[in-house]
Amino acid sequence: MKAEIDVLLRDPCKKIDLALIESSLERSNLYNIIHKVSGNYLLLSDNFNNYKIRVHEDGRIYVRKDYGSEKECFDENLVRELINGLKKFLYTTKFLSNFTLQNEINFSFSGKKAYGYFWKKYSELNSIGEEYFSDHNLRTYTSDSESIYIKLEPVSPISEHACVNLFCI
Amino acid sequence: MSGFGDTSGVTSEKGYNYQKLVAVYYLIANGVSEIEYEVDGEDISIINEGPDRNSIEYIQVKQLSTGSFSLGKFRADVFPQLWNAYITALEKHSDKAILSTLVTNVSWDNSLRRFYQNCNSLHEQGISFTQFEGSLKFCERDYKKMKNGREREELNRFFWGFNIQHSFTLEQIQSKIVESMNKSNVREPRTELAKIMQFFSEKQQGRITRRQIEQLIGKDLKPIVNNEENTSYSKPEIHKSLLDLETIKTKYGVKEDYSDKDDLIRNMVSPVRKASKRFIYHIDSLKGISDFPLEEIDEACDIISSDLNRVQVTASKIAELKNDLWLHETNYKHAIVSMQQTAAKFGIELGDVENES
Repeated sequence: MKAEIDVLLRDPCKKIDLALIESSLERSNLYNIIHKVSGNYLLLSDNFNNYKIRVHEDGRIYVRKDYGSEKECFDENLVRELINGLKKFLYTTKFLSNFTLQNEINFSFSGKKAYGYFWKKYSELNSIGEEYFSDHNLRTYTSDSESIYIKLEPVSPISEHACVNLFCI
Repeated sequence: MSGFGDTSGVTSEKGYNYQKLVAVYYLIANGVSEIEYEVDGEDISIINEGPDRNSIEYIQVKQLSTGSFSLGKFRADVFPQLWNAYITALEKHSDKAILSTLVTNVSWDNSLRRFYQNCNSLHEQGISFTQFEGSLKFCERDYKKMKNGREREELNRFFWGFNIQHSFTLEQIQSKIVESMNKSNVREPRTELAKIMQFFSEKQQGRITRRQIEQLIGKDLKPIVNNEENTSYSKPEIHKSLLDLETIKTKYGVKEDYSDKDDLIRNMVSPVRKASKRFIYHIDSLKGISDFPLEEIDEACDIISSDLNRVQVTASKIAELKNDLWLHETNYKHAIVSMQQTAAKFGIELGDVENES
């Protein structure tokens, strides 16, 4: 059972300099580097929260919370927790001063409770869409009964300015 | 109760048999641990509460002797019951996945097929509910009746979880149950199936568990794995997948370089603008020196101006879509490359595939 938020760079030709991310994190004690595959990705754990962050050189960033057993439940405030986890990472690495994110926020929930949790959080997910994009679409993509991918995106294009500020604190 | 299906005693009994068989199918062949079996007049609903009770599925079983199942029939004879069950479930189980399923023995007509495909796209292919509603022009009247007085969000959730099981004939279901029993080494599965059917007839309604069925036939029914694919793969199969990835990456991934949106619009529009100016100049110069009436010349100039406007609008849209397409093709390629990189890290590389093939 796991839950994840992901965002990606607006310009897919841009690459995230993983060495730069690594060096920006050296100065803080907030994250621990679990694993790095040069030219591919960097896996971090948050030292104060129970989630992991994976940054791909090709421009994707994932914040993930793993749950061990299917009997566990997704946390009540999980959606906000993931957003805050992402915000914290972007802030710590001063990410948004170098990069612009694509106007979309994606969530995924996996495990037997995924569908139920999605519907439980349906209104909250829509509020997040509203908060970031005003008029928005919530799209779902499922391939089996145990995982769901949710995309929040603006109905019409929003300004570059809004894009830059997508996750500013 | 609803005037649905056949009413003669013989076919009615046949209908019950079909409905009972579907219930048995869910318990034995579909790996469901328990169902709630409800008889309401001629209709039988099966409530399948998923493992760990994370989901609840309302199943309406409808047998027809002839014809196909239409959307109109679904709207009139299935939707109301499923909707009532769904609304009750929303009150009691709002944090569960609530699914509604129609099982029928006949094929679906075009209207029901298209409607179902749209429901499916709602949860599988990311169409928004607004797009879903927009795509139902072909069945506006039926949809309007289903929508009437109902909350938009509730409708969204209902159709998101709506499913139709592929048309199953009585014989097909029977053979699937027997096949599952054979896999569990049940001796004389047809005799045991008759025993189970008798048990359903006596029970009439209520909760029925797979454990009860197991006790009845004195045999453990192994949990059935629903995966269609094998769970183990040979090395060539794994490498073949890598080759497939490379093929689709080349076919569907980004092929063109990024083209600046403004440049693209300029390239598409400028020659047209230039041409329109020249054509208008030429046509306008014919005023008074040709046989063309003035009105026709003015009209021709207007047509060219309108065409230019249309070109500008459509060029903008094309540029926007091309940009979007480029962006998605690039991201698609990235994801595949990422998967290939991960595979390569663990020794699955394209070089090996080419050598082996």
